[in-house]
Amino acid sequence: MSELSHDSSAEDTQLRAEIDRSLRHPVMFFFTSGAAWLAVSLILGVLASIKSHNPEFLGECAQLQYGRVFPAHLNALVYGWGVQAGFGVLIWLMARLSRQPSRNAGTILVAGHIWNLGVSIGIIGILFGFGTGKQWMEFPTFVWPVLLAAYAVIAIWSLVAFRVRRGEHVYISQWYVLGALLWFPWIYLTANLYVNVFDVHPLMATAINRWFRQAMILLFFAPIAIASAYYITAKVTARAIYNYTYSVGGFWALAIIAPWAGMHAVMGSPIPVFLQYVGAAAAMLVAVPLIAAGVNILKTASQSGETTAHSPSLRFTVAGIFGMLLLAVLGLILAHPDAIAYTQFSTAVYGYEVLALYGFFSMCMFGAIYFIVPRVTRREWLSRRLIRTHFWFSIYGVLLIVLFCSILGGFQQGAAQRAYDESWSSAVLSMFPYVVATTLAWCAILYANIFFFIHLTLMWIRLGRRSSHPTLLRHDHTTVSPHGPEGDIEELENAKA
Amino acid sequence: MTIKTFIIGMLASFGVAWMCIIAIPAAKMSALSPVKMNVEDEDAPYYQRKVAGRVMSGAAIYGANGCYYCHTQLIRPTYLGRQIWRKDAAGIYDKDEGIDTRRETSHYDYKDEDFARVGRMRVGPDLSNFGHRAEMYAATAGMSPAQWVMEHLYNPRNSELFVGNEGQKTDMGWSNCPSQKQMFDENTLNGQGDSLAISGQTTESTEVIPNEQALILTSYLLTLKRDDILPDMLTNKPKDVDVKEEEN
Amino acid sequence: MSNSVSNKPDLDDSTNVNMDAAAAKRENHMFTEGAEPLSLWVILGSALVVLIAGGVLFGGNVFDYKNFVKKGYIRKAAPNASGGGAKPKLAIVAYKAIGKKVYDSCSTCHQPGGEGNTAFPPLADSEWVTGPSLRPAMIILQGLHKPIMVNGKRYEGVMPTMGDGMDAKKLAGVLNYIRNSFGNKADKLITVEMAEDALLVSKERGSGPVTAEELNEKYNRELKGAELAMETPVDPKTLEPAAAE
Repeated sequence: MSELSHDSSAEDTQLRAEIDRSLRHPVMFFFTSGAAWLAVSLILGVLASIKSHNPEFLGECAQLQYGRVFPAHLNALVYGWGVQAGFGVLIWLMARLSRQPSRNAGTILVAGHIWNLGVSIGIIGILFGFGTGKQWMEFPTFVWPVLLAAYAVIAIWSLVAFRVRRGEHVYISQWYVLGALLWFPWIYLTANLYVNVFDVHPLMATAINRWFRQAMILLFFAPIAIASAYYITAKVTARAIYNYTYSVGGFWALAIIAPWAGMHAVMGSPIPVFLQYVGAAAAMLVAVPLIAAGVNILKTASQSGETTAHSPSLRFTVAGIFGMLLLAVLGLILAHPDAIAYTQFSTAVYGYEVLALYGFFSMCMFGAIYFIVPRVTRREWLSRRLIRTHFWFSIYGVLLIVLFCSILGGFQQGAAQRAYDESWSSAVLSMFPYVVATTLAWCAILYANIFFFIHLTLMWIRLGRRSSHPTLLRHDHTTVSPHGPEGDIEELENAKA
Repeated sequence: MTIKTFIIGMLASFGVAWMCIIAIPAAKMSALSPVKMNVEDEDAPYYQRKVAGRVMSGAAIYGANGCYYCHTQLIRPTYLGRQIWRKDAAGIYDKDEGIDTRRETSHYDYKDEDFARVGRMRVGPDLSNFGHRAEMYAATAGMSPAQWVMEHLYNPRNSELFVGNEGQKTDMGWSNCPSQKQMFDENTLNGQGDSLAISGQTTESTEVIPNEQALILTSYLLTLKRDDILPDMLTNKPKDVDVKEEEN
Repeated sequence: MSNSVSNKPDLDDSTNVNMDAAAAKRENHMFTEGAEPLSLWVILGSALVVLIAGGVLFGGNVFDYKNFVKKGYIRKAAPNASGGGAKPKLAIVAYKAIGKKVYDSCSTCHQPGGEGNTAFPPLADSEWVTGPSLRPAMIILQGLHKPIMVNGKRYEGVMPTMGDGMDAKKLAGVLNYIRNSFGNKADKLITVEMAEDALLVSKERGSGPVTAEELNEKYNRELKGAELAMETPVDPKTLEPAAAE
């Protein structure tokens, strides 16, 4: 049971290949357009960070001022990159785990284009002064129904794929993906109706907006990342998941706890105290399901340490899971009311968001992308050095942002604000080193992802390696490789024939 | 786990939370009954928060330009925050005169807005009582409050705007607030010039005057005064302190 | 078959999976069941999280939608605030400060400098002001009609009642103000207690303007109340005597 079998039966291979081929267009579209939006978001992120300590950088035109560039950066990261990477991974995961090729790839692709159109209009709207002013929901208000409709198409066909699945056993990843598919419309619709449509008390609208942000992180991005991690880990290491009951328990713990979290972001505002404190308690308690999933996945991967060092997919995934555990600890700290007194209105919030979106979710998505793209394009990645640069500079960048925004910077900013006898200028000046460090960290992440874009683009235009060998991060000069001799496939086959 | 169990579990886990923290409080907050100024007096008037200014459209401009990313509008209770003790942040405090109107934010304070612009970070100071501060700074700088706010929007690093009591000027080079020059137009100079022209920008033939966006946003910012006296039921001040009524 | 794939890399229909789907071929089979025991550290860690989160939850009035701040919250004063309240002021200064604000509504007729004009009598040097204190109190509270002689001149205007919303503090304040401004100098301070006396007299009399004769007949006395030296330090808000700092 614990032997790596690198020679699958023809049936299995045939089925996998068919599934991958059926979904090649929508999956590659989601990954490449997602990566393009990631590029946009990172450039805007670096610009926003510079603007926060040098407001006159690149002139004073309205479209590039901090208050517009920053929401554009954040929304591009969430809706342009995050959700689309999530779509790409979840439709592929669902199809593979349901063991059926997709028959609706064309429809999904069209929906993906509509999603992209919506996001483009939204980002341009923000930059040109039509943002709504509501965090994570800054797209002009006519955009959200368009996005929801595109989502519905993608979700329905994924649910259909699940419905027509073959095989008795439902793998844990499928439960998480199903969860994400059902939670997203509830969260999105609730938030947009209550905040943009219904006539509610202005403070409740704000509270629901903050709840939406937390719910997106915990009930859409986290489940997809965890689903991907469970799959990649089991696939690449060929080990059984450490404790299956724990993984299902972790899912239900997430389902029960996470919907309560979020309103602690407006603690101290005149909304019912119950909402504030239950939000804080749930945000802290959600560490339990995250620890459950993390321990499970890491224990499974640790049984095959060599593979983690070699495989890019597994390495990124494991890094993402460490990011998830760090997120759990950070959430535990930042949601406590004593910390909120310091960090509620500081960059700590931003550090938490970046860790969730990039340090956890994106790293898991990169792992999935490094796994899926070779299967969908039938090419292997070109350069292990590009992958390694992507990996290490991402790690550096994320750790720096978490350190300087959330841990050091956030508490410093809070402490400076609490010194009520000091002038405000001293509070601003004390943050200067942290903001500059944040800019440098984003530059590191941008640098990392430049190589990712180049690499992904080359794969997309079919310039990848044709080989039976995967691109691994370590080069072992073994005489006998389990994959057979290294080299271009055609030549090898022709040589054989 | 069967699909049926899954669906029921999902509905229950999400639905209960949704009811308890979204649907029920939203309904209750929309149906708050008016509060009398004090409970003992039968003829006591009901608390009303009066605001005069372009709140809805001003708040929309505030949101579209991302002001809430650096400014908050929330004074928290003392178990969470200390802005209530910061000079001029939570109200007017003059110890010698015995005036103390500082208070925490109440849920009536965001009346007339569709979304409470509580804000994300405090890079800049809290704006709950910016209206009072603008009037104070404008008085020492020798211009009308509206004029002062527009000068600040045009160039937050303008060091002529913060004048102390003896005429000393504060260097504002440290401010990272973006200039909102898109809210101002360059027009040809006619005669003596517009009364709202931005100082220091008038040349021989042109002047810079605020356009509608600046006027609306300024109107909104000057309404930011959240220190009126709350009814007994809502106030959190210690019982033995008497607030001297402000004449405005 | 091996020849047809070399020109069209990917999107063709040939499915020689052994060649074209090498990645799929080398994939591992997934094993999903596992039942290793959980580490004690994980259980302890989770329990710790539950405890901390529970503590936070029950600090916030579970399922209570009525309280918008923590139960029992009273605003704390700033740690370095000295005592409470403002610096004590001299009684006469404190009263006059109150009175000055009240006088704003009198100044339209009696002029800001108290000099009056042809229609309205002056308050400067007027013995109606500086004389026995119940008389000016009644004029303020009731209003005045019918002719009145002030400083040798005859005035035939009507003064409306200024008693609406006039509490004892304000009355005492404005009396002290007019008796100690415009060149007037009174020797006694009118306290809040004395103003209460005036309010009582006014209530007993009922509404309706007084006349000069009536004032001299019935209300020609000083206000009753414990005396307070003008230079006594008082709390400017409560007007109670305070210890000087």
